[in-house]
Amino acid sequence: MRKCTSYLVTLMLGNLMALAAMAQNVTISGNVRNSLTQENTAAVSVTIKGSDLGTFTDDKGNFSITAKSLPVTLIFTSVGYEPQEVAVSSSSAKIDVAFVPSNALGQEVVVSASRVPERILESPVSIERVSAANIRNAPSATFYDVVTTLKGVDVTTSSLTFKTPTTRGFGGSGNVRFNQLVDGMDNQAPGLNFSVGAIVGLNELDIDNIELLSGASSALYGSGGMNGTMLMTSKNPFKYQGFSFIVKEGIMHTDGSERPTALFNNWALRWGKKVSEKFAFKISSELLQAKDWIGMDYRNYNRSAGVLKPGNRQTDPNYDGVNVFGDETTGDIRPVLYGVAAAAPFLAPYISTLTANPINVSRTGYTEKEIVDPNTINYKIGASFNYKITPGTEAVLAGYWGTGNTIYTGASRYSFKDFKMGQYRFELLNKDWMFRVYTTQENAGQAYNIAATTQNFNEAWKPSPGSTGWFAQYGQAYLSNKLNGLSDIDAHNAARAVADIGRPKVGSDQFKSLYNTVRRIPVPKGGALLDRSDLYSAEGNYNLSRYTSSFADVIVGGNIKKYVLNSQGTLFADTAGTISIKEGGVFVQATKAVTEALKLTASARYDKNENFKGRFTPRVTAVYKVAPNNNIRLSYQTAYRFPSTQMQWINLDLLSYKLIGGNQAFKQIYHFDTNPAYDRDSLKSGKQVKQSFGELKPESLTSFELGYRGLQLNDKLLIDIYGYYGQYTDFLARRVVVQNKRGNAITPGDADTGQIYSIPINATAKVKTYGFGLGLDYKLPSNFVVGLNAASDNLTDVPTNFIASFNSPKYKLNSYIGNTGFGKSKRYGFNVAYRFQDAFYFQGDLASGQLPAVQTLDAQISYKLPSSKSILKLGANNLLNQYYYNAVGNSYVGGLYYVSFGYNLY
Amino acid sequence: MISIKKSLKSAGLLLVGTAGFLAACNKAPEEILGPAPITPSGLSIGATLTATASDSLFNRMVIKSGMQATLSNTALGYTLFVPDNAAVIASFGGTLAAANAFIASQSAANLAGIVKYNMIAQYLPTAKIVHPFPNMQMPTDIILDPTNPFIRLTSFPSKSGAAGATFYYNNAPLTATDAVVANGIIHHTAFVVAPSLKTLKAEIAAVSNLSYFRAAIARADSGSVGLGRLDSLLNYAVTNMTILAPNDAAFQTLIFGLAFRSYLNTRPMPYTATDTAVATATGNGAVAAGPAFLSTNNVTTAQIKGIMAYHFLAKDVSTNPAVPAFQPVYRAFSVNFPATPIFVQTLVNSSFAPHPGIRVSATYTGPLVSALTFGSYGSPTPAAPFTYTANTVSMDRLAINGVFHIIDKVLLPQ
Repeated sequence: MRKCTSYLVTLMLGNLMALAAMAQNVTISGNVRNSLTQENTAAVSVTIKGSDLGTFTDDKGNFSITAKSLPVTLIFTSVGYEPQEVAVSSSSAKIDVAFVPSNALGQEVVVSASRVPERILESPVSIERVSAANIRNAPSATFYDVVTTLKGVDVTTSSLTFKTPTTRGFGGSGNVRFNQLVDGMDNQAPGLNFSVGAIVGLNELDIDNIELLSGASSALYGSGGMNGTMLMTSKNPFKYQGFSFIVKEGIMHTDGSERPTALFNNWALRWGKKVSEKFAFKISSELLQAKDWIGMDYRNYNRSAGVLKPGNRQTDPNYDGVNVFGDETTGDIRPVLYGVAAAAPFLAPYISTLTANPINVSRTGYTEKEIVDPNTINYKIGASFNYKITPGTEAVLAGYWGTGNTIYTGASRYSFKDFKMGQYRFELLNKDWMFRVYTTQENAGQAYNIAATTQNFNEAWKPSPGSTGWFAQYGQAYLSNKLNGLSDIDAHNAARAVADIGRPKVGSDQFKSLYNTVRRIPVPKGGALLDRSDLYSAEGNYNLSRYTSSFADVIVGGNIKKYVLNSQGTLFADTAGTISIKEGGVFVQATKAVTEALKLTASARYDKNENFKGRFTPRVTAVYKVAPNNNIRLSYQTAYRFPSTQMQWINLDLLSYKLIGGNQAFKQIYHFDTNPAYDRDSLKSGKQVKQSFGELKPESLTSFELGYRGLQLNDKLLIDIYGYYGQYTDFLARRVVVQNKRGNAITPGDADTGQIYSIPINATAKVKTYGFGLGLDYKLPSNFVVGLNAASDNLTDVPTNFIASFNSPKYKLNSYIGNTGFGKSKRYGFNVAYRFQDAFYFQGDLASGQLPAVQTLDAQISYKLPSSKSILKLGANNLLNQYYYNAVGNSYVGGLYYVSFGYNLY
Repeated sequence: MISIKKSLKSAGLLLVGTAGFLAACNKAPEEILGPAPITPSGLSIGATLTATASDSLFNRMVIKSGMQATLSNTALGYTLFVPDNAAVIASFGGTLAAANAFIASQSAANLAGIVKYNMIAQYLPTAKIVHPFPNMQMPTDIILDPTNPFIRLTSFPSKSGAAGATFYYNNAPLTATDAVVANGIIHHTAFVVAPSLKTLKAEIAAVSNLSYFRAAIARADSGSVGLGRLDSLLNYAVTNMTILAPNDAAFQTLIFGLAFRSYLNTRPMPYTATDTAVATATGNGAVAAGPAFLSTNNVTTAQIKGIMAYHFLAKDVSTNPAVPAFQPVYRAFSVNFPATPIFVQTLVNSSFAPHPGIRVSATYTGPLVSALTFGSYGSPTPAAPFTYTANTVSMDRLAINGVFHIIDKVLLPQ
């Protein structure tokens, strides 16, 4: 590995020196305007034909480029315009270019599908692209929501600012099968294992494009891309210059069903400046403030069986509401009654008539609305300093930092109060090679587990056990009520009222003081997570095509990563000190145009994690041009993922059970070798099935995809259709096991009274997925475009009692109609988007249950002010304010209505 | 422009149509409905009593006692043991007029005591009346200690009788069972089951022909203190005991025999007529001494203590078979004893665990017991064990803390 790195650095230095030797002496300047609207056109690529030299127009459409000699031919290109060539023989006159807009479909260029630029029509795998223009014209209030409308994408919404996309199944709030990269940096919080692209990273003004690869992508991007990879790329300050801002003001909760109507404030700015031909910088910042959506699922949950059940707080003494916290603490009051019977034997027969079965009752909980800070604040800041060492080699020092409050759904609901995360990178970019080092610094801030906090809050107010504890008071009052003739449920409810006497009232000083104290105490005695985990990564690749083009275009590369887990024992088993995990990989990719029509690409990647055996992931793709702008693609891909840092080392006491990792160290920590654990479900059915604590293996996926993307009907109709089939091996899942608390032989009773663990396992069965996607975009007259996409994802061969958490609707559909410029001066724009997703059964760590079908309608209408490149927009997300939720226990999302003014948008 | 307007118009119409279609499409989570709760329907206990002519006398008691509102509250749940009119008449004077007069003469509090004693705050169908010997002790609606709702007067439903298949409330047979109404269950009893508000000590004190028994208790307790005294037990309200109380005649017979035998033991064999005459006179003299005989040195305290302990029924309450602990902790009404003889332990077993106890059997006439027979291990004259028997003179004398049966012989443990 060290040798490879040395060669790579030597090659890069060689290039640097060669390029630095180039001379420049003729300056050409000019201006580019939109031929229809006469607007200055920014960020247009201006290159000298036949050379590496190039520049971009600034925010006023001006450019300046230096050539070695004249005459030269300048090439002007930009997405959404017809490419144009201009011959220049004199540098004395300014060049004015009337740039002709083109809204031809399918002309976008993507990079992530093959690591080299290629037209999206010729991509060998399914890929979706969102441009800055798409974001400008989308009705979504936040750019992240645009992803929701892409073909085959499911998004799980934990809260206003916490949204997690996936493709091809396995959705959820903390999706570790879907990578999110921001400017090449893995955006996943290294300890918490969720991606925070909406919280930390780019703001809307700094997004150049988003590319989304559906399905397996490990062969290109390493561990984790089982279901897809989303790559967000920011705007280069050399290309995108000037000051821009957007002010978005909106309202939420308009019907007051969750909370009173509240403002949505979202302000963002970006300033990019090319100081010289060699140096440019940008800074960006964004502030979002709103009253968050709330989880309001008050259905009764059977935590032991993992299913919703009938009843509510008034009808079920053991009620455990999905979004009610503190009521997870449950106990059998029979011991209390037996105690009374022992002290008063004359009541024993009466008590025996009440106690044939356990009388489980739960502590009284508080709703999410009552206990969670309603304020969602998200502040991000980013900066980049770009230096062109040579015209073709750019050094970038950049960082993104974000902080705020958000709500996340994992095994519980988590309030990430004052969460902070920074990503900092240094990279060298050349058209032939790239080298990048970056680090992710995570700080959970005052994050706390809402359920654990509320349970411990209840204990701090009145302990559950003991002769004067809550359960004793409840049990005695219950018996007394029964003796007074009350019905069973009335006796329970009256007993609860007795046991709850003095219970802190929401909003009272007593409540706030106690709750704030408990949430700051680390779990398991409180609710705080003290995670400060970090990630360090270095990666690079080299395009050897200049040496190998006679045979094939070849790219090689590699990366190393080091995780440093640091939770002070509140999340990981790291009470003795930080835990380090190292992994690395190398890849090679070869592309060959076998014929004019057929292009083959083969790649292979090998990765090794210090805790797991190495994995080899090959990939072969073929693109066959059946006609110009019409391509059929076929791919065989493999993907894998090493168990996440949590799956390896988590050690979280959730009071009712312990969520632990699969590292062999846990064998000793919990003495599984001398006091084995048994499968809890089997034990409940009377069978003793010992659970071995074996070596975890990485999960892998083999996937085949066949697709077609092309233009029809005089290039007015863009069709993209695909079908895929995948098979998972060593599927990573969890199993609930139980161990005798005293180290004795296991008994059936231990299923309820033993120490319960949730441990990671590799499923032996080969789970299979299949599905399809279809996208149609049609260009209407007068700049109108309509589109529709539909997708289906399916899971099969799932063993009985296997919790796959596939979490994808069988069918989903998006449609839209829009126009980016209509009216007399083409200043008006609009977009209406409709989304439907089918009902499906959601399986989550917090709760599982049937999700109803969801339909949403988003819309926006905009007006352009060309002189200042400004846009005034009136938009609505979930226009009809039809509250929906897309995971059990997640927030109910209602309508968000906003007006925005964006200045200098391009 | 026209085409744009048309397009916009179409789009607008489409939007309106879509809005109509989508309105109320998304569903908030709805509570999963379980089996529909059983909502009370029909008449309450109170209303049922009012509507049942054959229960009118008891209903009068309920109304006068002020308990009708409680028994009509469908939010509450009770099992009520109701004597029908015939039962009330049989219990209160034998005629309707006498029964009415009795009810009229009683205070509301007294009648509330009767009604509440027949109320159990629980749906108790006969199917749930399952228990080991002798019955199941259930709390009634009478709270003895206002500061502690658990301290209640108890009653004793059972499934007993000659064949062990008849249901009783205390010793009253249930004549009709399991009438389910909106807020509970009604069982009918063959007579009025009324509580006692006195302890066994007080109840026994009120029986004139138990003077020897009281004296024997006093003698047995001499030298003892606290709850170790039988007298304390009899006066302790929260115990639950079954006492066999030999009447005065039984003690006199015993005393006569003891004195008679005592004198003869001083005479050489064979006894002469004079010996017999003197012995008889000695016996009569001892009897003439009255209960005081038991407080003298004619008998030892240990003897009397052993005999009295033999009249307190007990059972082993220890959870450790190796260390038995016999305590007087149950209340056996006459109907709780079977027709086929059984052996029951006594407090004698607390000092000598292997003692076989007392053999007891009941003679049934219909569902009621006409007599109980207790076989004693010992006897005044040499005889086989359990051939010396006592019969009940009076049965089922109820107290707060137990029941006592008056018998015609003093049982001897050895």
